[in-house]
Amino acid sequence: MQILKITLNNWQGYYGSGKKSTIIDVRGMSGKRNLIVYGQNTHGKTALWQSIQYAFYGRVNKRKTGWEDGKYKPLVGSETHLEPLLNIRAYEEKDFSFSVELEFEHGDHRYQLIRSHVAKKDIDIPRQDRHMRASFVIRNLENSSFIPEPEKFIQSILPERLAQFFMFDGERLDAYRKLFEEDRDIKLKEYIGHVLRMPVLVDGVYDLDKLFSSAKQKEKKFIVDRSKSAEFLNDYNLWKGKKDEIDEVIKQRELDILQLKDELSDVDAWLNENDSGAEAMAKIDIFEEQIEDLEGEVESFKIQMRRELPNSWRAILTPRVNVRLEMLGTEIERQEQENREIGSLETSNLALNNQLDGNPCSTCGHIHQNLSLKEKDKIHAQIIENINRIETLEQTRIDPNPTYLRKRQESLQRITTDINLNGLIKIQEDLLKKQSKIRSTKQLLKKAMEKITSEARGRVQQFLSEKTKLTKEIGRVEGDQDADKKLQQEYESKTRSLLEKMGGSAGKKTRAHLNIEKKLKITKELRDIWEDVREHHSEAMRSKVEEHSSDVFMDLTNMSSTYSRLSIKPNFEISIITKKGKRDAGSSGQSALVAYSILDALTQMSGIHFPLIIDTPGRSLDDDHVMGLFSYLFNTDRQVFLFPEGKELKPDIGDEKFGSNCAATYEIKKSGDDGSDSYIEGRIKNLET
Amino acid sequence: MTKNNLDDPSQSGGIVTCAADYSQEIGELGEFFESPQLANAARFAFAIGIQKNERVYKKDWKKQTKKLKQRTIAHLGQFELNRYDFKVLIEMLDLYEEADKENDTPVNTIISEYITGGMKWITEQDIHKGGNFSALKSDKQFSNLFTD
Repeated sequence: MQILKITLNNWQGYYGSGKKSTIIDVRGMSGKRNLIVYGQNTHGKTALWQSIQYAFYGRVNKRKTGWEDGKYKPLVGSETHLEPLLNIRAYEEKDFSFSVELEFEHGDHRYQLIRSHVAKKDIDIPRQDRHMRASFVIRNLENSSFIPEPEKFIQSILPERLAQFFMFDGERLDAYRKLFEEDRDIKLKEYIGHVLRMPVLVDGVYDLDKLFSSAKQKEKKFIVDRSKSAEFLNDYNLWKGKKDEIDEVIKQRELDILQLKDELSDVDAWLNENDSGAEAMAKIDIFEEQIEDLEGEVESFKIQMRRELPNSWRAILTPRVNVRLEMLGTEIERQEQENREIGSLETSNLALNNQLDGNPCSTCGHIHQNLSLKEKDKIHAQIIENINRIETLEQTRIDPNPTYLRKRQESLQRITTDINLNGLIKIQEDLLKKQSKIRSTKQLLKKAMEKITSEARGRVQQFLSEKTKLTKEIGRVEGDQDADKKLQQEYESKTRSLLEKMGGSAGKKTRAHLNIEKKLKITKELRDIWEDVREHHSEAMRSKVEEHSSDVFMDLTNMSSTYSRLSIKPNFEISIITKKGKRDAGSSGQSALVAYSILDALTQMSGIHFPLIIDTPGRSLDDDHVMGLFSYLFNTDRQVFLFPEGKELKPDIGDEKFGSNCAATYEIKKSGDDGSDSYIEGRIKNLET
Repeated sequence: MTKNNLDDPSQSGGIVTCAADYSQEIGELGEFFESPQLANAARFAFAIGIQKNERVYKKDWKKQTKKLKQRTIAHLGQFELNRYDFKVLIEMLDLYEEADKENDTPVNTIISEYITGGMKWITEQDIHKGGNFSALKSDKQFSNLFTD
C-alpha cells in the first residue's frame, strides 16, 4: 500500500476545509512516493502523523507510544490542552465537522478513503465524543464502487495492533530498547510474532487444540451417555487406565524379550560355530553340575547320619552298663531288704517288751496278763535273737556305702539308652551309591576336560555363561509377561463388563462415537504437523530477521570495527555481538540504530506493504547516523514518510541531500493571530503534472 | 588357663586326646557327627574301644611330628558333657587295670587310650569314611544297636 495524497479538513491545528483544506501530495514523478515534512516542535508534525492513524483506525492515541493504553484524544473540545481532533478555531466558528481523506494505492487499485466526524443533528454544540457522528467510506476510484466493509478492508491491509511497527516516533525508540531485555515487554515481543505472521500458525495450533478439546468433550459425552451411572464410568476409567498402563508395559516387554532373544540367538550362533568345544564344555558343565548335585546329596546323607549317630556311643555301652546296673540293683535291693528286716525286728522287740511289762500292745492295745515264767523266758530269748540279727544286718546293710551305690547307679543310668542305629545302614547304602556315582562322574569330567584347551574353555565358558544368563533372564521376563498378560485379561474383562453395563449400543460404541474417535486421532496428528511447521517457520523468520537486521545495523553503525552482528534469540531478545563474540548493551544511539534495523527487518519480512511513517526520526541519533539512516531508508524500495524536527534535519540540507528521493518536501508553518494555525508550504515538488 | 593347667588332672581333669596315629581318621569320622564333631566322634570311638576292649596305651602311640600331631579333643568336663561321669563308668566297667591303680593313671589318659583303641578298630573296619557302618551290624558285640 502506498499513500498518494493526504487531505486534512479542520484537523487538529490545520484549520480549513473544502477549498481551504490542507493537502499533501505525494504522487511523484517516476513513481517517487517518499515524503519529508519539516517542522519545528509544536508546529504540527505529530498532528499530521496522527492524521494517518485516524484515517485508518478512527482514533488517535494521546501518546504516540500509547498503542496499548486505550487512551485516545477527544473528538471535540474548546481548550487547546485537551488536544481535540476537531480544530478549535472551527469549533469556535461552530463548524463541527472534521475529516481526513487519503488517496492510496493497494494492489492494482487506487482508493479514496474518507473518515470524518460531524456533530449529530440534534446537538447544537458538541461537547463530548458521543455528540459526534462518525463516517467512514472507502471508494475504489477505478470503478467508483464503495468497499462494503471498509474497517475490515483496512485491517486486512495493516491490523491496528501492528501499526506501531510502521508508524512510530523516533523520540520513543527507547520503547523498542526493551527488546534487549529478556523479560520486558512481552506484549511487544508477541506483536513481533504477529508481524512475522506466526500467529496464523500459532492460531492454527490453538484452533486445532480447541478442535481436539471439543472432540474430546464429545467423546466424553458419548462415554457418559453410554454409562448408566457415574459409578460405572469411574470404574471404567479406573480399569481402562490400568489396562492402558499394562498394555504399554506388555508392549515394551515384548521388545525387551525380542532383544534378549536376539542376543541369545547371537550367542547360540557362536556356540554352533564352535560346536566341538561347546559340546565338551556343555558336558563339562553337566558333569560339574552333576558332581555338585551329588556332593550336595552326599552332604545331605551325612546330615542324616549325624542325626542318627550322636548318642550312638551310649547305645554301644548300654549292654555292658546294664549288666553293671543289674548288679548294682541287686545290691541295693539287698540293702533295702535288710533295712526293712531291721525295722520289722525292732517293731517285734517293742511288742515283746510291752508284753513283758504288762503294757498294752502298741498295735492292737491288748494287755497280756499273768505271763508264766516260761513264757517270759521265751520272750526274752526271742528279743535277744532279734537284737543279734539286727546287729548283723546293721553291718551288711551299709556295705558297700548305699550313697556310693546310688551315685553310681544314677551315673550309669544316665548313660543307658534304648535308641538304635537301624536307619544308619540304609543311609550309608545310599551314601555309598552317591559316592560311587561321584567317582565315575569325575572320571567323565576328566576325559571331557582333556578334550579342550584352557583358553578355548575360557571363551566357551564365557559364552555358555552368557547363554545361561540370557536364558534365565528370558525366562524371568517371560514369567513377568505371563503374569501381566493375566492381569491384562482381567482388566480387559472388567472394562468389557463395565462397557456392557454402561449400555449404549449394547455396550458397543456408536458410529458417531467411532467417528469422534477418528476425528480425535486426525486432529491430534494435524496439530502435531502444524506445530512442526510453526516451529520451523518461527525459526526461519527469526533467522531472516537476524540476518537482515544485522546487515542494516552494520551498514549504519559507526562502530563496525567493534561490532560484528546482531543476535536475536527465539524469544526476540536482541543483543549486539562484538567481534570478540561477546554481548554488548550498546549506547542509546547504537540502541536506536538497532531498533531501526529490527523495525526495518520486521516490516520487510512481514510481507505487509505499508509506508514507514516516522515522526522525529533522528531524535536518538547523532548527525552522522541520522544522515546514514535517512540515506538508507530512502534507498529502500518502500514508501517512507519522515517528519524531522529542525535540529534533526534542516530543510535546506534535507532537500539537498534527499529531495531527489522524494515526491515532495514540505515545511509546516504557523499563522493566525495567536500562531495556533498550522499550514504547510511546499518546497521541492517532483510531482506528476 | 594354660596348657599345663589343662594337663593337670587335679586342676582340670585333663585334656582328652587321640593318638597322632589316627589324627586324620578321627577328623574324617567327625564328618558324620554333629557339632562338636570331633568330640562326638571321639565319644563314639571311646565306646567302640570299650566294647571291643581295644586300648592303645600312650606308650605305644606314635610320636608327634610337625605333620602328624595328637588330636586335642576336649577338656574332660566338656567331653563328659558336664553330665556323665566317665570315671565312674571306667570303674564300674572294671576298666581300671592293676597298673592304673599302681600308677594312679588319670581318667583322661584312660579315656584317650580307649578312644585311640576305638579308632584303631574303626580304621581297620574302614568305618571312618562313612562307608562301612554295617561292620557294626555284622559284629555280635554291637547287635543291640540294630533291632531288625
